[in-house]
Amino acid sequence: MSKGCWKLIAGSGTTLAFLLGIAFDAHAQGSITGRITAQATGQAIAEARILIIGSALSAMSAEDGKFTIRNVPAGAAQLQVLRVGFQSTKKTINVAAGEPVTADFALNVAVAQLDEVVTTATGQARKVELGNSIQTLGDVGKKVETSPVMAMQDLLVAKAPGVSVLSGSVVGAAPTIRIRGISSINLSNAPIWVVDGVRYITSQGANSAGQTPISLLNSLSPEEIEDVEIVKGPSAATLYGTNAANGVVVVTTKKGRAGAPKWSFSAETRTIDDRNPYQAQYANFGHSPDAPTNSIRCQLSVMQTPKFSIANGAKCISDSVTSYNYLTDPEQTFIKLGRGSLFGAQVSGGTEQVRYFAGTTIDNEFGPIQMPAADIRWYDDTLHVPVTNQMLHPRQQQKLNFRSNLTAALSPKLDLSASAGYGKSSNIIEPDNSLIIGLLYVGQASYGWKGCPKGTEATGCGMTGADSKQYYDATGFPLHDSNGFAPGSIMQYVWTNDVQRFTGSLNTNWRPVSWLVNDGTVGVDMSAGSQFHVCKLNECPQQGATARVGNVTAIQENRRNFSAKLASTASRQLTSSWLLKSSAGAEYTNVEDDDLRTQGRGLAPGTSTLGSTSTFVSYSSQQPRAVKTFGYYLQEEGSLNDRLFLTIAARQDQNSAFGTKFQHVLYPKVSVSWLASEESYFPKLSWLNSFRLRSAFGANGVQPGATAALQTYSAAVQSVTKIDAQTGSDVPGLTANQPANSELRPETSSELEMGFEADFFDHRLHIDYTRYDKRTKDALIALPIPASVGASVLSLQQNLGKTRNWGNELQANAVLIDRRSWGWDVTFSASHNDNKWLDLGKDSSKCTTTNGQLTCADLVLGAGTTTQQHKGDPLFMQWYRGYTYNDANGDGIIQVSEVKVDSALSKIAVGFAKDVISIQNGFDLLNKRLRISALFDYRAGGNTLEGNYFQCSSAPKACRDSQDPKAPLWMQARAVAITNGTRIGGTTYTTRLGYFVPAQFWKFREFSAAYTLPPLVNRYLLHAEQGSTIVFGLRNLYTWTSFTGVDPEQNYGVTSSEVTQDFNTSPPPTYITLRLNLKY
Amino acid sequence: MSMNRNRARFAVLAWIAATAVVAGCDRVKHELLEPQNPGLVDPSAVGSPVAALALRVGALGRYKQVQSGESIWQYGGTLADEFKNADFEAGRINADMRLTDAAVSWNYNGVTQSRGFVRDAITAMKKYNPDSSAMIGELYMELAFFEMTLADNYCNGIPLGHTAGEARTNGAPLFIAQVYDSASNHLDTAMALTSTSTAATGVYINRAARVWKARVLIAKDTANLPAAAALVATVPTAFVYDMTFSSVSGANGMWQLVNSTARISVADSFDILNGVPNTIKNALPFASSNDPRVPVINGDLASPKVVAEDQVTRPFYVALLFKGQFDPLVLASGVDARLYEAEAKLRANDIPGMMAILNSLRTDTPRPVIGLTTIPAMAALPTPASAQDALSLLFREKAYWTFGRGQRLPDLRRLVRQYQRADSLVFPTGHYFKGGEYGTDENFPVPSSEQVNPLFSACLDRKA
Repeated sequence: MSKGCWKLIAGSGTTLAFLLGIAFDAHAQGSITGRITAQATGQAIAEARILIIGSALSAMSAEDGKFTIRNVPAGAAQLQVLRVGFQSTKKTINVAAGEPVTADFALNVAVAQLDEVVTTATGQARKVELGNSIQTLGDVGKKVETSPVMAMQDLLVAKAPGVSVLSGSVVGAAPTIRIRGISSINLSNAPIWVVDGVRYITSQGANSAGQTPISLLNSLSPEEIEDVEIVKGPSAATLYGTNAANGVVVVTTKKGRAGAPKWSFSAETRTIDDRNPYQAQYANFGHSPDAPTNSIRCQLSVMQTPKFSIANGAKCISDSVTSYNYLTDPEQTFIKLGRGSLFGAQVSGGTEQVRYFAGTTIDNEFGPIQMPAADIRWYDDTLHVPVTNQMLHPRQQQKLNFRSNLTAALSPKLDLSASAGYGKSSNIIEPDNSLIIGLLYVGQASYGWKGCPKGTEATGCGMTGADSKQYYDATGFPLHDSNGFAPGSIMQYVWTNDVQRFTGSLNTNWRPVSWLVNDGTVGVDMSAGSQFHVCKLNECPQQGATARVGNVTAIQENRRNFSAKLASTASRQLTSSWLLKSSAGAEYTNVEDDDLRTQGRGLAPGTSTLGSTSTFVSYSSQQPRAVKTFGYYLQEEGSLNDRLFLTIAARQDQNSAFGTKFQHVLYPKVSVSWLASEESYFPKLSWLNSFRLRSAFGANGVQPGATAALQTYSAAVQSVTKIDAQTGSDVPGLTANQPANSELRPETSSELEMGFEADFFDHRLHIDYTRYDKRTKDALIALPIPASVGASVLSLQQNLGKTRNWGNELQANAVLIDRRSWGWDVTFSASHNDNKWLDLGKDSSKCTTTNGQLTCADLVLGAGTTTQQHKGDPLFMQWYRGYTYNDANGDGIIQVSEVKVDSALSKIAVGFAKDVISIQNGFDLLNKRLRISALFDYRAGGNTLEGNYFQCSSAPKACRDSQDPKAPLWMQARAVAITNGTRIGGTTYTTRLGYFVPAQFWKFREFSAAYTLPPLVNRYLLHAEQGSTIVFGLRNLYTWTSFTGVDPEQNYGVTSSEVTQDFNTSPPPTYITLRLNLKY
Repeated sequence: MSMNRNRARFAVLAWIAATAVVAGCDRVKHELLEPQNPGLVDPSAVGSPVAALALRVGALGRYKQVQSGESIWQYGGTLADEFKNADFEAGRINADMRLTDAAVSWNYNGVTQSRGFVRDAITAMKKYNPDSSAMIGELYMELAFFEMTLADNYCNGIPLGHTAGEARTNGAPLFIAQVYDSASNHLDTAMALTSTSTAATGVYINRAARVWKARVLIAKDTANLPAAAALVATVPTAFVYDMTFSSVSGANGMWQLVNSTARISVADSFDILNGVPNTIKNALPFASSNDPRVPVINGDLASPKVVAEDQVTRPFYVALLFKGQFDPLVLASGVDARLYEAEAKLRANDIPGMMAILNSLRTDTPRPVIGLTTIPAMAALPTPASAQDALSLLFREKAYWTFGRGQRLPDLRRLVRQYQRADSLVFPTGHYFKGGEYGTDENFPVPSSEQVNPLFSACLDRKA
């Protein structure tokens, strides 16, 4: 056995001796029973948490408000009751050995109080004890029932300061979630997810160019969530271990409540309306002076004007200008109303010993894409091909979720919880982005007019040369886009994405003595993904010679995650003032994935399977690849008079991705929380109810890739030519893949956060402010290697950089009016985040020697490219060539010579949003039976590469910028800058700068009106209990923006440089929902 | 009560001890944390004769770098007059317009990196299979091929660094003549390793090495033509050294770009600009000449319907030389050898001798095979009246015989560099069919990504 092993066992033995020593101090025991009620109404309060401060003992109140805590040491016990929406209450009880004691509590309503208990790595803890900020969404079940929440991302958008969510635009698509900005250029900036104690895989599924990737998060249903907590940074996430540096989203699913079975049924119908302002395309018809009889499209930049003649450079004489918007033409557009529905049923109940919850949800949706009427007629009347359901509605999702949770009190000292969730999602996704054959490409790339002048069809609508298009397909079907691909053809693509997923965990909570709680969880999260991409024989657009011979792509992806963790916490009242809690824990995770991709081409009529293809095109496979982490930690917490809380902790991690010379990493943590307003010397102010100061420092890391440290070779079969023959033999071969990188270690982030929480005006106003400053060292930088040295890679990762990421977060909850019959509450959240490179290392190729001293310049990554990393700059600074324009001849048209593009790149801005604000107004009306809620959110500080750049610079260049003489000068100028540019020294310089525009917006994100049905309706019409509601909801109602594209959240995806693009991708649609929730 | 308490203490002890053991023992931890990826091959698997052979096969697979994706064979062909860009992307259009951009590499990285993969294979073969002279010779020949490709297509100023183990040595920019010298030296090694071989493999490799040695000698200086002709004299006309493809190893990159995705069209000597026929000065009519060495079909509304990426390039000509996705591409051939001999005749002012060789290729049987296409017999050509006409004819014939094989651009460069023909009489010139004018670039710049090499800043010059 190794020296390290003995040392640790010895250390653990010492701890054990300490704990056992305390054990001898055990007391005689009694029990406490009681009932929790509301002060104002006397009604029982369920789900209140009753804690005995300084012990591991706690209980939850049942439906009738009753609770029991057993094995309470005899003597004085301080009880605290915590419940969302009520003021926390404390009471000291004397417990006699062997005798029950009664302690009833009547709670006062807290109009602006948030969750008081949160889940931490060591178990549940009162929020007041924590020095760091943890955001709880609170009572998610009710939020889901009473607002338009279709997916997990909807729960998070604009709900928490510092949390930025860019939703996927297509149903089921992967959202981009960032907590407190970004810190890394090479590793993920996404948070990790933990569901019921199990690490939950959220990475997106595989996709092919042109299809929106579907998120694995999609298989988690909001309907089954009880609470979501957002652990924001390393200071809070230290004990979650490696990979939690970007924050942790902790999800707790619904649990059973003691009492008779409680049934709830939900039914929702929704309409999906794509109301986005798609832009029209323009055609500036003209003719060339060289060939007056031939029609061509005039580009403004070379169009003849009174002040710009053929003699001085004009090449086109304009005759007329038309515009056409394919997507607003009722006959042609494929944008139609989508439909969706949800049906759910849940039941919970049980006894104090055994509680259960079970729920299921079926959620189906047709997106707002439908085959145009003209195309349906084309299929019916000309092609005589049946229009299938998939062709008619090429964006669909069907989801089935089932969850069952069971909690059993096997003895007064031992609880066992089992949680099992199954999700199945089946998506059909239309080719929507990037591809020329994508629907949105077709929709946004018309010629600028509809149809041809009569009689000109056979001659290409009278156009010639570069503008001579294929305006009609071979059957005579008119094509209005620039590619000659009918939407109906594109809709023949079949792209399915099915995911089946099981997540299960088993948790034991064992309290052998009153001062010790042991918590153990094991769980698995397994997903099996299956994708098919099929174009049958003679189906799909004719792109290339082999497009319509039929092709099949099949992708199978399996991901498995095993998690196990143990945590023990011992409490001891050291003195009458000091309480100590000691925790020790260990955690192991093993995340595996494997996949298989195959592709074949050439299908017989009617066939669509890989096995029926005539030519096997390609395959790739990934055998099981695992990333394993093992960590253990110690934590010591001390509280003084239940007002001042100090925590010291450290976690040590080892990971299979760390290099062979780097065995482990240590993450420390220190935090302090001070409930200052409880101090006797704190001024007693009538308007200030409580005031808490808090601060925390902690570290955490993000691991490099699973095998990033290993030297590896790749195997691939090569065809080797035969002697004097025109054929080859397939022979297995090897090539060097990756050099060894034994020094590799994780990127380590340390964060200091400080803040306060205060309640004002009889708890009507709650303010929570946090300032954080996160420093990341050992940032992985891919040092470039010149290709000419013939190394197997073009860069090698090294831990060189340092980054800083800092910001402010503010959240205010206010109850402005709280009358018996109506009320008004407001939640305001705001955050600002900045980041920059503190260090990038030195560039060994740029060194000078002065007086014998070698000095090297700072390393610059990406020099000469659009994304550059410079010391002192934000991460992923975007560099474009600047340009200026001046309508020198005053003709209202920007000619090529009137735009000057710089030859050098200059730094511009970043893509990610820095400022996020949300405001939620809630109104309770009609004796508080009707609740109206409106959520607005604002995002700014980032830029998006607007997709119009492509339409303007590529054929047919039919965007307004380059065709409409009435287009503003700035619009014309940016098209000239990207298309024509400026020629300097024999080289032409162009720029996309004009299309890299601020993605700043205010959005009316959510509106809901939830009406609680009157008792008479419940009782006699629905035979339901009180609490049944009917809800009308709207999502993405309206956008106020100066963004020049369709929508600033139109999301082609966040690139590796954290820049969003709206490149031919669906913008977010508006959801209109009507939902009925019945309780029995 | 006391028994319960003791039981509790024991349980606590066991719980914490288990945690401690798991936390502390290295062996347990290593078993829990061992990196796992059975899909990857670690270094322990490559130290054997069998592994060396596998590394050799892997290195031979790197030939594909010249034609895989948007690579140097295809876009060298657009910079010359073999292909016309049918794509909408500005960088590709610019290459076609002879307005090259150092930001675009045309797989420069893949080509020059391949030298390292080949060197690794040579090292392994020498260590574990030192007697496999022909195989080692073939690898030296491949090393020369990549250097020759760099010199053929890129500007003066090509660095040739190298990597040995973890040590990387940057190379200073070299003139293309120096790069050809390096290739020549490696071909000498290849020929030496196979010169005495009577085995089929040795003879086969030796012939290919001779063809490339001759090509390199000629590219270096036309004064080497007699020596080049002598080198290839024994190479049969029917000889071919191919790059082959299969469903397992991957498809032919020329087929993918020209036939499948329709991103480049076979070029012609004229096109349509604003509805008016536009002559592309100096360009050969590859598409419209109906030459059996460059068979094409006009891909328009007629069958088979082919749509160019940009929907602009009309007519779009599909090359039938690569009509199958796994059709082979010719790396070196006996036809090449005859063409070098013909050029040597021309240099010796033996125009009839040159014509005899050229006409022999056009008329003799058995007929040469390019890829899977057997070239039918063609009419003999009349003898040109002047040496300049003969030179034009020779390069025209060579252009058809070597279509799409990365030889047209270096030949146009040679016409400028070695035969002192003006650029305006050699490269495509005049109006470009998508608007604008052809530029004046005669090669590709070494891409700016190479600037991470501290010895390199830019091309030494852009001369042909």
